[in-house]
Amino acid sequence: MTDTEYKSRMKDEPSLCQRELFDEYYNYVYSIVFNKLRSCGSREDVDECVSDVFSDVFISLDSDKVHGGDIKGLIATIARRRAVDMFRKLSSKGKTDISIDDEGVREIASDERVDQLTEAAETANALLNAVKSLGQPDSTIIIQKYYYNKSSGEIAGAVSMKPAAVRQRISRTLKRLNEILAAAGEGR
Amino acid sequence: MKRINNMDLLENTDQNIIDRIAEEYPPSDEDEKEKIFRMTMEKYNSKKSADGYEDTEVTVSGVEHYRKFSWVRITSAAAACLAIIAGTAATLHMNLADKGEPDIPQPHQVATAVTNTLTTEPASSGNTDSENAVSAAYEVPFGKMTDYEYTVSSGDLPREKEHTEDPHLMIYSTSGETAFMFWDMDNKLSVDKRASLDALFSQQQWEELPSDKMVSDDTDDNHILYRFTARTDNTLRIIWIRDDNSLFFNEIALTEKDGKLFTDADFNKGKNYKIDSAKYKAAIDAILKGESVPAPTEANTEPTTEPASSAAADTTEAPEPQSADTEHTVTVDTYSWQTHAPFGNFKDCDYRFASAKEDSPIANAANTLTEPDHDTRIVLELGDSTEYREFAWDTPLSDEQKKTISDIFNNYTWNTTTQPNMETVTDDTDSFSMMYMEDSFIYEITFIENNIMRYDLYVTHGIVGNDDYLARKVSTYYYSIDYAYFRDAIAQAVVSPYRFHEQNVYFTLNSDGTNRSYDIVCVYNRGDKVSEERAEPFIAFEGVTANYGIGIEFVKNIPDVQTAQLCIINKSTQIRAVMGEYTYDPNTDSVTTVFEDPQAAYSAVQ
Repeated sequence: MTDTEYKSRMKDEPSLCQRELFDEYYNYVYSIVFNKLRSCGSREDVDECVSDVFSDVFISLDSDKVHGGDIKGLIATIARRRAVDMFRKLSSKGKTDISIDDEGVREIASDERVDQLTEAAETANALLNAVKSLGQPDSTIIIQKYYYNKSSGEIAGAVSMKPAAVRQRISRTLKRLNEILAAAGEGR
Repeated sequence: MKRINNMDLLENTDQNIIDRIAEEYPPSDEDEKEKIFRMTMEKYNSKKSADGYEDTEVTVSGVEHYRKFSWVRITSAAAACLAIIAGTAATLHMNLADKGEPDIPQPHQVATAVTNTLTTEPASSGNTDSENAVSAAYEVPFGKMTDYEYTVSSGDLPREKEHTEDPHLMIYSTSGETAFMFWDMDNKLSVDKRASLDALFSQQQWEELPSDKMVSDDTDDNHILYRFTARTDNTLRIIWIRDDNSLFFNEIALTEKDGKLFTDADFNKGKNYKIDSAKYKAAIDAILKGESVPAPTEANTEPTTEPASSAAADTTEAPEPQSADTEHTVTVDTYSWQTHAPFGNFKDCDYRFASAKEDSPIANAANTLTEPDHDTRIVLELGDSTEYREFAWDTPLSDEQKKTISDIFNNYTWNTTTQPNMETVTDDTDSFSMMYMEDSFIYEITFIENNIMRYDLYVTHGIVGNDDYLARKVSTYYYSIDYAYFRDAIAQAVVSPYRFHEQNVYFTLNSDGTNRSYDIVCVYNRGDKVSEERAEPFIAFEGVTANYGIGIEFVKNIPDVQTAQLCIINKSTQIRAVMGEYTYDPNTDSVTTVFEDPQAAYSAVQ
């Protein structure tokens, strides 16, 4: 959906249009936000941030400002910025100030290195490949459990299994994933 | 070595990874999605209606932070009531006067069971008879259930529903600062069932418990087994069956104003009465399932049940099981004993072996049935200490085995006894135990060599560690038994003609979306892909549909021989195709499976 198409449809069916936009990009936004906040925020923080993103998107698209092109870029930008804002807000709670005169200040001069980021992306891809090779529903169960931090009960509802069966499955699947990663050289 | 379960590797990575996760593994929580959409629209509408909105340039800098919804659980009201700050309540748009039919509740095991059973007419003796009978029994301090339109719910239902559904009833405090919300008023009790409950309640003398003697912490939702709630024009009546041998009753006055209900009552200032929770639970379970609950038939029938006492002190002998046509007084003590063993009808429960002494007759007979599954562990809180229990989920008893054992239990005369001297029970004492989980309850029956059967009821209240259930004991009963009889009878019932239940065989189903059963099972060896169809959508076991695979471990009985064939079978266990060879090596106690041509076998059954 483009910016122009959205604004055109908003004139006739605003509620329906917003709902469709939400449905279309919910997974996308959630993944962006969750990826940034999963280690520092709660589920509620993620929900809060995702709803912030969509309300911002709706407001932004309501304005006279013309963004042009596919809305996905706008949504991604808003999602990333909102997630970073929330990340800073949540992360700042436990931090203390560092004096510029501290010796350690040199060590925080740069916290991003291109080579490390590239390696991290390759590792992440390899991990996702390994998870994918588990097949369904094991791959979904593993991601829902250890990436999204869902409980077995929640996962059970999503895959139409009993929680006990999910728990059992998780343990076994982890062993299989271990074997796959070890074989691929990622387990070392 | 990297921790393979550490998905931090996927965190803060580049956009391609995020895109891939979003596409391949979406969050898949529809309830959460709907909640976020509601939050979105509230924020959007709030911002849109704010002054100066039209002139405000909307940026995406994100410096603005929105106030969170402040859901605050009231500190003293239990379970069914939540308090929210008034400002937040206003945003929920829950005007009772405008509210139509309550939402259909979320599927939940207990709730569904209750709902289903409520549609079954019980074989009670009728309302009139019941009322007559009740009037002849002990007076019930909280009145008759038949006088009010009570609803029923299990204890943990509201917690499941509170973030996903609108409440069925909302009552504001007179001060307007708090609101109490009820999610447990959608399952109405039929008159017959209420009459059965009246008969049940009238069987004991009611003793009020001083509030300072209460074991339960009112703030703990997990103590409630059943909630009965009835609303009239100006009152709300609450009866909670708790798991700490108490019943809570309160009647709250209501006033209505502008379509809203108000009260200045304290929801916790009710009365507590002494009951035997486990026995009441069993009796209420049966009533809700529509089982027959004959009421006292004689006007001068004397109730036979003594006031509930602690299990350990209960030294009364159990009554003999009675034939179905015997007219008898149903009491709390005897109710659940009429047709089955005191710990339930074994064949209707999914009991699994939890332990058996090594090389004992039971262990030898049941073989792998007695090997606990370390992945399904229960952490029992026992005072200051904890114990672990493990289920053998992999190895269920067959229906035939359950029926046989059920007959053994149901035909036995169970006599309660006092708590034995457990110092006489050592590691060398032969014993075996079986466990069964249903909803949040865990039942454990332990047969001990010194002619004791211990029946424990636990309630789970959380998950700890590596997905272990956290549970605490509700009650314990001891029965004097003939241990050798049970050991030998059950060993005979579970003796298996199979040496192994092969656990390392996976399977996939075909990709035919119309074939929704386990008609075609393609054996799949762990780690080895055997057919290309696995990547395609396929259908789950026993009609559970999904557009992706539902993994079912196909546990295959392996005869006590050194070789066997792995086959594709249909529902009638007829062999459709041979998949390969299975070889058991008794020297190494290990199994080897060799798949000959799985793809050809798969094709053979298309």
